[in-house]
Order: sequence, then structure tokens, then C-alpha cells
Amino acid sequence: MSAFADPRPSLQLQPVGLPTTAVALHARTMSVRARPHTVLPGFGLSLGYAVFYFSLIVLLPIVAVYARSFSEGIESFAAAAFSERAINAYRLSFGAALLAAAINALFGFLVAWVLVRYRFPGRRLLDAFVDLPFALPTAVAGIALTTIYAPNGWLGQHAALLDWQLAYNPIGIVIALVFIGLPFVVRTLQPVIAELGHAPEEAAATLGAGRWRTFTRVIFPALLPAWLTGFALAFARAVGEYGSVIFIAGNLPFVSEIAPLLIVIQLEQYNYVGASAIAVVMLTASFLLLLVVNLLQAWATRRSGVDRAR
Amino acid sequence: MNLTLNHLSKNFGNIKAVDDVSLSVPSGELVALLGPSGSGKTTLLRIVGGLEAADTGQVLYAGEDTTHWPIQKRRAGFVFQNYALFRNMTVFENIAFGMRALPRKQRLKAVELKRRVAELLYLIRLPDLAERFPAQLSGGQQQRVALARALAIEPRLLLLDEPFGALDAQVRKELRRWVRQVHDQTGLTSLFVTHDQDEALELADRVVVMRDGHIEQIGTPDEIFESPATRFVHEFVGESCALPVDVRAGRVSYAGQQLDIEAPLADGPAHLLLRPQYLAPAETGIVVRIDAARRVGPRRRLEAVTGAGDRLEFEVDSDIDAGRGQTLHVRPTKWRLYSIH
Repeated sequence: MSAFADPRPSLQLQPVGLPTTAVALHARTMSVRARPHTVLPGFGLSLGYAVFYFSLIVLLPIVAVYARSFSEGIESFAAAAFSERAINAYRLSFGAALLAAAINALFGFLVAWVLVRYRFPGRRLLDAFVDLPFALPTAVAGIALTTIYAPNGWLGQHAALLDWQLAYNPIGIVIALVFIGLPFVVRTLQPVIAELGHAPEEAAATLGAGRWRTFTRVIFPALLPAWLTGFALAFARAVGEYGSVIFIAGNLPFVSEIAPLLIVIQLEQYNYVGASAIAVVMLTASFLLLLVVNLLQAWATRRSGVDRAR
Repeated sequence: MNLTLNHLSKNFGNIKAVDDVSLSVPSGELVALLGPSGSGKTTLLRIVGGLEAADTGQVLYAGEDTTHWPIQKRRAGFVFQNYALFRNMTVFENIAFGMRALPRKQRLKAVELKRRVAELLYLIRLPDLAERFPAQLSGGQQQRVALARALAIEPRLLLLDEPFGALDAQVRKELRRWVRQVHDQTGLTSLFVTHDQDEALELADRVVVMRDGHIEQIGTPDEIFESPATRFVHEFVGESCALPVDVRAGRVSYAGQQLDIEAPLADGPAHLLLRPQYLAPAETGIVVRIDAARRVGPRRRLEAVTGAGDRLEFEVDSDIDAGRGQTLHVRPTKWRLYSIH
């Protein structure tokens, strides 16, 4: 349409106060919804492949475990899944994993904070060491921890003088789970702390806020989503951990026997249904717990105002 | 509240970020700290606000030495370069933050606090956006919220770090005028940092030009533009061309040709600094050959080269027909001479 050809004023064509760009933008959003236009095409193909891959690698094995566990009927499932020994193992596995993840959330934050905020000799070395629990074969970690914390170990012998036993009991399990879970919290928090920068806390200080208020009202809410992610990852890893725990746990049934070990024991006795029944309980419980953490995280992200784009 | 800075210095390693700066700002004045990046202007502002500690020197608020006061006690409203709004709080909560951080006895009642925030929202012309989050605001709106948040604590002075740096040209111009209005309404002593000379000259009562951590010149916008104290100030503020000249017995000569310019300088080499606006074609003067002609608004901007190869720029009326390759005489109507030490 040419503005020159039309002698009538064209201002009446649109509501007063609504700039043309807004109209154009709105129209564009509409067209986006109708048919996505992106620089990299291939939505159909990539989604199809992603779903196929996910099904093959993740969903299929899970379905197999569920199918297997119920293959000899509900009674034998319940007998294997909810035996007293199994329930004790669940309690221990989830309890120790939650406790370890909580400890990691606290001290992992401290490590991440120190690594991001301060420059000191050996910082890069410390930064590299954080990944060690990732890289170390879990059995090696288990042997190393046992060497230190066993009643005749480097630290364990001193603890023994105080009548503290750090290995071959649930405390040992928590120590192992803290060890393997640390990097998850540190590595998820590090970039977020770096991105946050000093400006928010400086702003809070100029507005008269003391350290406690600055931390609780400004820094903590900004870090909470990443914190929960780190917690969830550390927890998930801890629940499934096997290698490092069995060396230090002592593995006494009803006391320090973790659920993954119970599965292995069932397998060694060729009790596949029993093993998969315990696996199903763990799988379901883990899924529910992670779902809760994810919901919490979504809530925290909403609260942090990050995803509130226009 | 008047502000006095006494011999402030601050080093970062070997770099002198602030180098023996003294400044006195009378109550209610709006002062611009102007300089290129790395001139120490932001560091100076942060020292005044208590965000940075000076190595030596004092900061006096109304005559009281605040050098070792904690940030919280200073009550200096600080507007950060990227606003530093709290992303997890609404506009209302951002503005109320400072009032809620007051000692319990001084805290306002909920009703009064609401009224005060509403007043500030009205002042920044965003009365309907109280429940928005910072991410839902435009840059200009965030900037205004940041200012309201700083004003909410009833600050003793206002410090603004590149307040318009991240905004587009149109919004920047509007906000500039608006900030001036707010300043005049509140009567707060204010310091703002900028690298934009237009901003400094338009907005400030006084301009402090900084370079490599020290002050080059303090003056009103007129003084800074018309009588730059050093060649650096001349070239940093406004447009400049420089000609190497010789001074002998009070007379100035350029490339062997004596110019009609008086020089209150000692004999020796000097720089003649000229502004395109203060250079005009004439019957006699420096001979130049026109290299390029561009239209700038209502006038024509000519780029020319002298016989000695120095470049000059000047403006003529657009009806003067000046083309490439043509030669003509130009004469400065205003100039500044700086001797070379």
C-alpha cells in the first residue's frame, strides 16, 4: 500500500497509541506459532530421532525391568520387594543418599563460592581436583576411603580412640556418598555464581542491607534453582552408587546393606525376579523424588525471575 | 550535602587507577566524571560510595570523614551500570528493599511503605508496573527502577555509574532530561560517570575530565568546551584538528607562513587546536585543498588537506558550492594553543 496514493489519512486504520511495530511483532508471533521458522530446520527429523533414541536407550530397559519384576505374579513381587531386609536397605539407601546430598549442597556451595570468588595459589589445582570423584573408578574410591576411615586407617584409628566408628556402618556409607556426589553441586553452582557477579550484593549493601539480609534475600534466591539441580544430581548419583560403598559399608544385612548391593546378591543367587522387584521399587522412588525436586526447581526458577521474558 | 575528596589514590597492582584526586562538590550540584575507559572515573565513584577502599586520601560527607565507614552507613544511593536490579523481586520489592533493610526502629509501617513506593513509582512514571519482574521491563524502565530504588533510602548523595550506557539513543536522550528534572526536584548532590561528552556537557553543572587516574580539568560545560585546559581535553570534548606550529616572539607560524594569531606562550614548538565549527573560509589564511565534502544536517562538512599534509575539517553553509580538489583559504575564528613540553 502506498501512503502517497491514498489521499485519506491512514491514522484511523489502527488504534491510537499502538505503534506499528507492536502490530508487526504480534503478527510475527502468530506466524511463528502456525509454522516454526528457524535458521536450523529439521524439527520433525530431530524430534523423531530423539524420541527413538530415548526409547531405545532409556525407556525400553525400564519397561523390561518392570515387566520382569511382575513376571511371576504380584505375590512374589511383593515378597521380594517388601521383605524386611529390602525395606531396611531402601531406608538406608535413600536416607544416606539424602543426607549425603544435603551435606554436599552445603559444602559444595562453599567450595564453588571459594573457587569463583577468590584468587589464591593452587586455585586451579583445587578446581581440577573437584572432578576427581567423577574420574576415579568407584572401586578405587571405595578402597581409598576404607584405607583412611577403617578402624586401623589413617583417620579411623584416631576416631577409634574417641569410640567413633567411621567405617563398616551407615556413617561410612554417607562418607562414600559425600565423596562421589561433591562435583555435582560444585559444577552446577560454579557458573551461576560467576554469572551472578558482585553487582547484586553491592547494590544490596548500598541500600543498607547487612550480610545476612544480602545473602538470604538476594544471593540465595538467585542460586536456588542451580542449587536444587546440584542437590538432585548428587542425590541421584548417591542412590545408585555401588562400587565405592561396598568396601566401606561392611554390608551387614539390616544394618549397612544398601539396596543396590541387595540387587547384586539376588542376582548372584539367580533370583532375577527378586532383583528386578527391588530395582523397580528403587526406580519408582527415585523417579518420584526427582520429580519433587524438579517441581521445586521450577518453582524456584519462577521465583528467581529468570525466565520472565516479555 | 557537600562532598569533599582529599588526595585520593588507589592502585590496582602497578596501575594507578586513581592518582591524587581532590575535588569539592557543593551541596545540590550535579557533577559529571568524564573520561575515556581506564581513566579511573568509575573507580573514583566507587570509592566515594564505599564500594572500593582508597589506598590514601579521604572522602568527606558534609565535612565528616567517611573513609572508613562501611557502605551501609554511608547512605549513598548508587545506580549501577547494568542496573543490578534483584531479578527475583518485583519492581515493588526492589524499590522497597532499602526501606526494609533499615534498623527495626526506623522501619516504616506497611501502609506507609506502600505509599512511599507508590510515590516513587509515580516519580519514575511507572505506576502500573509494581508487580512486574525486572526481566519483563525494557532497559529504560529498568534504569528508572534502579534510580527509584536508590532514591528510596533517602540518600545523602546520588552516584550513577554510566547511567545511560546500555540504552539506545532515543531513550538515552529522554532519560537524560528526566534525570536532570529528578535531580532538580530532589536537590541531591549527584555524581555521574560517563564517557559520553555530549551527556556530560548537557546534563552536568560541572564536568570533571579525567585521564589516567588524575583530573585534567574541572569546569562548567562552557569552560570545558570553550577553554579546554589541555590538548587532551580539547580533543576528548568536541571535535578537534591539530596543527603543529612554531611560536616566535608572540607570533605563530604554520609551515613557514605567519598566522594572524597572538600567542601568550614561550618560544618553541606548539600545537594549534581548532574546532570544525570555529574555522571558516576567508580571503587570506591557511591554504587547503578539499578532499571530501559531506552534508551534515543543514550544513556542509568539508575535509581538507594543507600544503604540509595536515588534515583539517570545517563547516560551511550548504549553499556554498565546494567540491573535491578545489583550493581555498581558511581562518580560525577561535583557537587554542598548547605548547609542547
